[in-house]
Amino acid sequence: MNLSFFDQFSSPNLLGIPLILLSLLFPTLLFPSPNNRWINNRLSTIQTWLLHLITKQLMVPLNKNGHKWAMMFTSLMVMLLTINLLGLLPYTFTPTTQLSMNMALAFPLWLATLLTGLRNQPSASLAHLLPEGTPTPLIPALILIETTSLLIRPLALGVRLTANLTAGHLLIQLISTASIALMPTLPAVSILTMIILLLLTILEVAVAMIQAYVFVLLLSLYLQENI
Amino acid sequence: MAGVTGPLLNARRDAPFLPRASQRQPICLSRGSGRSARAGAVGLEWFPELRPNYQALSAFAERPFQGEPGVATKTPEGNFSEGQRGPLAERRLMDVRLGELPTWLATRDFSPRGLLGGVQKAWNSYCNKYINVKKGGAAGVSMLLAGYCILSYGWSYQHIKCNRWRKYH
Repeated sequence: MNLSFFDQFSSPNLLGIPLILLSLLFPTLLFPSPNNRWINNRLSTIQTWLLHLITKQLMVPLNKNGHKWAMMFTSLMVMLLTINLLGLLPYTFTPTTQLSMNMALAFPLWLATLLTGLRNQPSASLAHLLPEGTPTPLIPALILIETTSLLIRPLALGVRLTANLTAGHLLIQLISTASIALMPTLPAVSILTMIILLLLTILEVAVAMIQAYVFVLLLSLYLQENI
Repeated sequence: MAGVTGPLLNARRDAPFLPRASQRQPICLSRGSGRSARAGAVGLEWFPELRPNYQALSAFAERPFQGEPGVATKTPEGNFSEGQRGPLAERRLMDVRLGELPTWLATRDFSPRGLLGGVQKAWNSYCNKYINVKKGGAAGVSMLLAGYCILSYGWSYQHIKCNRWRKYH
């Protein structure tokens, strides 16, 4: 029972139900389904605006076949964004700090883009393994390097999201612990630490949004190569 | 009938993944030939709720709009005792007096469908009161987030209470 800083990443059970289940289901409550009125409520209007912004941004570089992935990318983006941001509230659990969940998101989606490319345009997909203008002696080495970088993509996707969020949560916990521990003895330093904590929290909000965007953007880039 | 392409009147019609009545025809054909037959129903394409066989997810769905615009639904106003008329089984929770609460609870339907119906009604009333209003503010969502924080705290209380006596954190 000694590890305390990493305890925040284990989801506690109540009556056998882990908290991660609640954290995964709660975002559905925050997005009301649009009703068939002409002007919706403010929450739906803001969410629809954001959704259109995200979808346009992601779908512009893709060709028409890639637009079939619009629902997948948009829902993934919204889910990651919500889960990451909700994890910054006190006492909540962030499912995306779990490597298992991020790998479960990254690996199938990356594999889907790869198989789409290999199935529909195999030569073009394999041609990506050799950049244009490579000097001839370098070709074997470069193909090996490019294959390695291709196969490491899902790992990079999953670990990037996990590491960023885990590191952020850990930093927040460390600095807040330091701030509380310093308060009885050195209150001035404690206030300085609290200012740092405030800045860090703002950074974490930004990181939460950026990491969700990067995850989906990279997947759309991998799709762009293969579709 | 082959290869008739109507002019692109509206870029929003270029949506190949919407369900169409004539699945075998390509998009351009149905745009060109089917327009006159379904001119009256053209605007319904973008409102799947109005199609007859639309199956929506209804676990937490809000109640669809059932009134007419411009007709204000009259909620029963009046003095204190007006909402308490009528048999006990038909009253809402807020109209039941404290002493009558056990009796009222006994009349409620506790089957899974009844519980689900109760949850849906509660969720719909919350949405209609705080979210589906003309000038909704941050309060509607903030209450949900606060409730979520409190629920998460309660969920992990048994685990967190060990931190109280920890000497080094």
